[in-house]
Parts: sequence; structure tokens; C-alpha cells
Amino acid sequence: MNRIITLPTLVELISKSASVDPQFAEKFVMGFTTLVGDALSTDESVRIKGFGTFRKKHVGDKTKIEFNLEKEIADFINAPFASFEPEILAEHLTADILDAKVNENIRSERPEITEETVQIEAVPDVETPQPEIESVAAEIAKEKLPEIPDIESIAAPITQPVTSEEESLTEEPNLSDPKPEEALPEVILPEETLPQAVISESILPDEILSDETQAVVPTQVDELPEETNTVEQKITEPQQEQFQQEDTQSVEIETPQVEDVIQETEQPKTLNDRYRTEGNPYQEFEREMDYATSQRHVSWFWIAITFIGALILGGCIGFFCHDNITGDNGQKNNEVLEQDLIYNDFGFDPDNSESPVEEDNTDIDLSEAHEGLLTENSQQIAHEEAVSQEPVPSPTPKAEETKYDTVTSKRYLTTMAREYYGDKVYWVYIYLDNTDILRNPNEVKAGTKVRIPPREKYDVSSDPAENLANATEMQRKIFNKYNIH
Amino acid sequence: MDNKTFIARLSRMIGTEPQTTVDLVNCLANILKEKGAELDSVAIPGFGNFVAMKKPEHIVYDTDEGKRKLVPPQIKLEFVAGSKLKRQITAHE
Repeated sequence: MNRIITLPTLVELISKSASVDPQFAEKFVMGFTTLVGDALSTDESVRIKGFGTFRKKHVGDKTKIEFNLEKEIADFINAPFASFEPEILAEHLTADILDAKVNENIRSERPEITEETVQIEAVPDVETPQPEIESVAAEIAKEKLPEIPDIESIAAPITQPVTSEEESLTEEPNLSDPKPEEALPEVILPEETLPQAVISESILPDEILSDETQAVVPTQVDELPEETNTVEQKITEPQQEQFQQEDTQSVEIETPQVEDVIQETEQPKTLNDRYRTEGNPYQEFEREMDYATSQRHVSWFWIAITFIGALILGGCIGFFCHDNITGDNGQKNNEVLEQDLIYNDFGFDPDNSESPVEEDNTDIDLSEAHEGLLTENSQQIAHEEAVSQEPVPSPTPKAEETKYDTVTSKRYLTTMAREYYGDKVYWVYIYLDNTDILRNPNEVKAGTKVRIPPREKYDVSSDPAENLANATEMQRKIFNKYNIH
Repeated sequence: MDNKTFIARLSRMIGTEPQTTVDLVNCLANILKEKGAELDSVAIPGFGNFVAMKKPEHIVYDTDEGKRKLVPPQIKLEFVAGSKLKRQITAHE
């Protein structure tokens, strides 16, 4: 890949594949190139079947040689990508998203390393000598536990300065005395001056005082206070007084050194001392934990409060909406009542089409009735209640079957009225018969299926002049109702 | 210059039968084909280089359909004219 085939290699390849002499193959290559060059120099394109086409092309001031590969060769070269086709991309897909998807696919195609393969690779062919368990355990212990310095080496820095100072100041009894306590039984030093673990923090680092080492160290360190005690106990009270006198009289420089040593020893060194002096070091952490726990409880409390509040609010909204719904229904009922009154005004009973219209009802002043309809709803409701309490007359069979028709963009209520009743003014009867599905007569949607009441229901054919007048008046009321001019 | 003329002239130039020339041309085409598929280049001194270049997959905006298309990768065998050939062409101009 990405190699350059030179002329000798090319000649060799040609000679092998065509079984010709290499010199002849070279002659062929040279002739080929010379002929193509001559043709191109005379502005002539060269088309070689099974190879390609050389063409001279002028781009601005420059002249370029264009080579179009034969389709057969191009297809062979692009055979690995022949299965792919240009794909239309969705609008939200960008180059970054596509790259990310490709990377995910590559990752998913990688073989997963299972435990079996790991075990097979890990098992060696030749048996290796197994190390002894004790040595392995020792190595593990070394790795886990930090190295603890030898207790004697730790104690030496403490004991040696003191003893050297003591020796330099006074002539002390031999430190190697096996029973110093017996020689000096009266000396009792307070805890403040000599804490138990003098070496705990002054020499040992904090890491050594970890939980793992604490179990080991105290058993070895317990011996140390005795040695320090023995050193301090060797300084008896008279001797101390003598030291003080000598110090005040002659050497004032040496006393601070002893005090410093004592002050160093007076500093709290153990964790228990820190507890006593500084308090619980984990107290702040515990306080934070308690605060976080309380915060968590508080958050749950507020969530519960919010949920309950939302429930109450939803209940209130539902209650008021229910009232509004009933109010709408009441309004609808009022509309129905109004419509019924219109029926009554004109002597029509929508429930009983066969009932005759009384002459007295037609004498009612329509304008007054309409005003009363709009202003005195309470009276209408009372009237309706009174009507509802009256015994309902038994329905009589209809004279004709109810017809249905559909409103279209070219077929209105007026068109139907003209067709069924002979005049377009009678659309009001169709409208009144379909008040359950119709509202504004000018806004009836196409496709609405309406009932066509029979002529007998509104007594259309009895007195045309009167009926026309009634229909016109009713039309005026309906128009007024919907503000149609 | 069409294929027939080219083969005839080349045959006269190298002194062989046209069929042998056709076979040799086919051999050269096969070598280019194989080396191009391996993304190798063929350099002919004094003439030029046939360089195989792989064009990675890319997004093209189709102005006719108004949609973006993801075009698969493609290997193109391009001819880069050598300096001698360029001089030869420009000398005639």
C-alpha cells in the first residue's frame, strides 16, 4: 500500500504477465508514453480501449492533462465499496454525530475478552516453581503494613539527649542500674510532665499511627515510658533544686534546654490526648453528616407538603370548574328554554307535532314575548318548571318519516327549505328542528346532517301568508339572537 | 486519436503485430488495475505518475433534490503529468 512502482518493476511485471522480453516490454512502455505525449502535444486526445482516455484541458492560463480511467478498471478498483450506495441523511445528522456512531460501531464490533481467554493466556505451559506460602504472606504483610522502625532506634533519640544533659549537669547514678525504682521510690511524676507515649507523635509519623499499626505499636511502646520515667526519676528533688541553683547562679543557658525537653514531652502526643485537648477530630465530619441527613429529611418533608398542596389545589380547581360546567349547562338550558319559548310563541310544540296550534297563542305580541324572553329568565324557568310538572301528553305517531339531508358548500338550509317547503323563509323550521346540532345559522359547517321536519309539524301548508309572516318573524328573532344583520 | 489508430501506430513503432500490442496494453491496464486497488502508484519517468488516491466517505448536498447525501468512499486513479511531458505540451503551444 502506498508504494511506488518504478519503471524497472513495471517492465518486469509486463514481461512476466505477457511472457515477453523485458527489453521489449521496456520498448513498449517507452513507445506508449512517446505516442501519447506526441498526440497530446498536438491537442489530440488519445482513447485506448481497456485503459482510458488522455485529454488535454485548458484551465485558465494553465494546461492540464486529464486522464479518464476506463469504467471497467474503475469498478475493479472500487470493488470493496461497490456494496455501498449514497444514502440520504436526515436533517439532524451532522458529521460529528456520524463519527460518534461509527466509533460506537467499531467498539461494539471488538471481541470481548472473556475470563476463559484470560485464563488460557495466563496459564503457562511449563510449571513454574511455586513460592512458599510463608514468604508470600510475609511479602503481602510488608506491602500492606508500613515499615515500623525499631523501637530501640525510636527511643534512642529521646533517651540519649536527656541522659547526656543529665550527665553533663550532675553526676548521676549509673543508668544501667537494674532497679532504679527501688533506689528512688519516692519520686512520682505527674502525667502532665511525662505523657505515656512520648515518642508517639514527636518521632513516629502519622502514618505509623494508623489503625493497622496501633495494635502492634503500643505493646512495644509500653516499655518506653518506663525508660523515660527512669531517666526523669533519676533527677530527684534535691538534685533539681541543686540544678536550679546552679542554673540561676552560673549557667543560664543550659536551663532552657532542659525546659525545652520537658516542654516537648509535655505536648499531647497521643490520639487520646488530642481527644482530651482538642476534642473529637471527627466531630465536624459527624456534624456535617447529621446536617446532610437532616437536609434529606427536610427535602422529603417539603416534597410531601408540595404533593398535598397540589392535591388540595387540584380539588379546588375541580370544584370551581364543576361549577362553571354546570353554569354552562344552565346557560345551555336557558338557550333551550328560550328556543322552547320561541316555539310556544308561535304555537309550535316540538315534542308533539300533531298537536294543534291554538289561536290564542298566535295573538301574543311577538316583540313583547321576545323582550320577556331576554329579560325575565327567572319567569321562564318557573314557567318551564310548571310545564314540566304538568302531565305530559302521550306522543302521537308521526304522519311522515323524518327525512335527513346534508349541508354542503352549495346546499344550504334555505335551499332545502325551498325544495321541501316551497319557500326559502321556511329554513327556520329546519333550524328549529335541529337546534341540538345547529347554533349560528350562518356558520353551519358543510357535511352537517340535518333533520327535515314534515310539513305537518309546523303546519306549513295551511295558511301560506300567515306562515310566511311567522317564519319571517322567527327569522328576525334568530338573526337578532346571533347579531346577524 | 482512437484506439485503432493508436494500436496501429504503436505496433509500427515497436515493430510487432497489433494483437501483441493489444495484449501488452491489456497487461499494462491490468497492472494499473491491481496496483490501483492496492493504493500503489505507478511512476513512468518522462511521462508521469498514475496515483491511486482514496477519497473518504463524505457528505454531498444534492442541489436537485435539496437533500444531503452520504457518499461512500472511493478510490480514484489520477494521472499526474511529468515535467518532461508538460514541457513537451507547452513547447508546441
